[in-house]
Amino acid sequence: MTPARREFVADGPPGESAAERRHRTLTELKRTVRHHPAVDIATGAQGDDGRFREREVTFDPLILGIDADRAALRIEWRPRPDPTDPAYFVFHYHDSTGRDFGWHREPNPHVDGLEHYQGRTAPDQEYDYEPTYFDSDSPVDLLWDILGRIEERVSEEL
Amino acid sequence: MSDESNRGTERWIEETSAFDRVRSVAFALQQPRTAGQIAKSAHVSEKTARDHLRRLVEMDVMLEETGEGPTTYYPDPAYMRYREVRTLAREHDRDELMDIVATLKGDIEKWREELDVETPDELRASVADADVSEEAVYERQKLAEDWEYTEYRLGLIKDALAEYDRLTTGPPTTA
Repeated sequence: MTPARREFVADGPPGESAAERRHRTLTELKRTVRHHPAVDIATGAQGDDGRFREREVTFDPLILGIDADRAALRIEWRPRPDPTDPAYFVFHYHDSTGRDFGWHREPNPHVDGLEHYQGRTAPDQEYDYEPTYFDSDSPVDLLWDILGRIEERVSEEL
Repeated sequence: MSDESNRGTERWIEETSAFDRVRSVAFALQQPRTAGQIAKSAHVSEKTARDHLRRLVEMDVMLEETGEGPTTYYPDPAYMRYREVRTLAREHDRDELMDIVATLKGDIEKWREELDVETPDELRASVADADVSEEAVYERQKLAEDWEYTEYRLGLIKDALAEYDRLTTGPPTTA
């Protein structure tokens, strides 16, 4: 019996909080995304100043194969208090040519349900919203799937 | 995820080892999961996932629950917390950590003043007020989460400052 082997008892110490899960998950997303060849760096968004509430992933536009000067993905991960409820999230891509789209799971007045794609082709336009769905409950698996969707979407538009 | 959108998954498999993927999925679990469920998310066989998960349990970084149902795994919250504290100490000097403390405390102070509440729970309760629109309900919920998260992060940074020397210790130096 190893020290780590134990029962998750209901009357034990309080379970891991949603805040702890959020921090741990953002740390892991920051770590895994660095393996993507088009990813330059994963940092806090501008003005983060050590808050670590969301992550901004910066792409190398040349490796991503786009004509933009800057390209980035904003990541939010918001676990619900009950860990069996799917966490809310935002994976939103934007670049200096005006591409602006992302996959979100959060309350919104635009589609039935929480999960949706939203995108627009110019900063002065309204977003178009479409319902979507996600199969995986792993944030890491989800991130890599979305990185693939981003690559596909930016290459289609060339 | 739909089957046609697996370019990202292919990249993940090309760029990382099976162990990397199992560890990464395991460290980001949202609730206890079986080796089979972790294998599916990490795109490895169940046997591979189980072998790597057992190694992580032996390294004291994952918990293994062997109750009446199937064996499940979860990252050890105590280890994960220590890891965050250690990362803060290694990536920032003391002055930078003090600056982050000031920023986070400033945020909490601002929320208290602007929203006229003392705690995240009070903020959550305030959504029932008549003058809070439906759209503002989710915004307040998010702020309450950010507030709790900020308090959690403040705790991590305080621990990093308190144990700074211990957390940044290197190998012994030769005479």
